[in-house]
Amino acid sequence: MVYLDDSIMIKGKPASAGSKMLENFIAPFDATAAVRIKENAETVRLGEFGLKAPKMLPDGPLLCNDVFGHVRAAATKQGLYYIRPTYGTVSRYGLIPAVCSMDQIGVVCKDPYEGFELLSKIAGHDEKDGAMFPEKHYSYVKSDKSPVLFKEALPYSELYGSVFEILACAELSGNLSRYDGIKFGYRAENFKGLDELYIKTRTGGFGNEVKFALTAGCLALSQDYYTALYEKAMKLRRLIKESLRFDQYDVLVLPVESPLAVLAGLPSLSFGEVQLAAQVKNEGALLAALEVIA
Amino acid sequence: MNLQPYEAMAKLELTEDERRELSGKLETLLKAFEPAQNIDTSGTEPLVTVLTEQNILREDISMKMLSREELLSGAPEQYDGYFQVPKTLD
Repeated sequence: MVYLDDSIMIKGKPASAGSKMLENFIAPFDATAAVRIKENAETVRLGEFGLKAPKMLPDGPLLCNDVFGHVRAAATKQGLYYIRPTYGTVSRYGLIPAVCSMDQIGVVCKDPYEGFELLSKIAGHDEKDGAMFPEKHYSYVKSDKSPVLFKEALPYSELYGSVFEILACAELSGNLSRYDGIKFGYRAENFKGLDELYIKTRTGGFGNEVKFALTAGCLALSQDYYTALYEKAMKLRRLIKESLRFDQYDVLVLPVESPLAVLAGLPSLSFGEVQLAAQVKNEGALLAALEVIA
Repeated sequence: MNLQPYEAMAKLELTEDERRELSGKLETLLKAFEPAQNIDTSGTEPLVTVLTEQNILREDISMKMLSREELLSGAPEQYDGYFQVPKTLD
C-alpha cells in the first residue's frame, strides 16, 4: 500500500489539497505518478496547499508535494525520511499546482531504499508535463564511492528564506486564482453579483495561511513592489543557483527546513539527525556524498 | 501597511486582526530581504524556471481530452452543459 497526498489525483477519489476550497472535489483523471506506481494507493489529506503542517503522517510510504517544508519537518519528527528528487524528473501531471517552479513529488518513507524504489517507478519523462528532463528512466542505486566531505559557507544563505517566500507566494497567488467558485470546488452561498461571489468564496474557502500568502503574493507582484521584490528575488534565484558548484560536489547536506533545494531544483534528503545538526550549528554547511546521510 | 489594495487583487477580504497579523509578517519579510538591495543584480537576468529556459513544445497533434461532462463534474452549479455564473449585466 502506498499513500498519496490528495493533491496527487486518483480518478474518482477526493482531491482536496487539504483545503475547504476543494472539499467536495472528485478527481476527474489520474496523475501520472498515480498511474505509474501500479500498487494499491490510498489518498491522505495533508496541510492546505502545503502551507500548513500535517497532524500525522501515515506509517506507509507517502508520495507528496512538499514545497513549504512542513511535510519534511513532520517526517523528521516521526523518525521518517523525506526524499525530494531533482525538479523535472517526476511528472507533475495530475498534481494540483501550488508553486509551479518548485512543485515536485517526493516520498516520505521509513527506509530510504524503499523510497528510492518507489521513485524509480514514478520518475521519467512524461509528455504531459512540459518542464521535464528527457530521460525515460532513473535508477537510484547505492553508491560505493567513499565520501569526501567539504564544509563551506554558502553565499546568499541569509537570503534563501526571503527569496523563497517572495517567489513562492507570488506563484501561489497566480495558481490559486483558479479557485473562483465557478469551475470547481467551494462556492459561497449568499452573494450579490460576480465580484462578491469571488470575494466571499475565496475568503470563506481558504484558511488563514493561504489568505496571507495570496495577499503577500499580490503585493510582491504589484506595480508598487514588482521591481524591488519579485524581480529582485528572481535575479537572486539565478545567483543562488549559479553559486552551487555541482561540478565539484555530488550532494548537499542542508538543514531540514532550508528552502535551498526547492529554490534551486536540487534533490534533497532529510532525516532527523540533519535537523538536529542544523539546530546546533546554524550555518550554511556544504558537505558531500550521499553516504554521509545513509 | 495598508493591505486593502492587495487583498482586492487577491479577491479576499481580511479582518482587522488578520491585517495586523499579516502586516507584522510582511514587515519581518521585508526586513529579511533588505540585504538583497545591496547586491548588484544589474547584469543578472531573472531566473523564471530552474530547469530550462527554452520552451518545450510537443507535436501539434490532437489528443483525447476530458469530456464536457467530466470538465463540468466539479462545478458548484451548471446549466444545460455550461458553468453557471451570477447575472453580470442588467
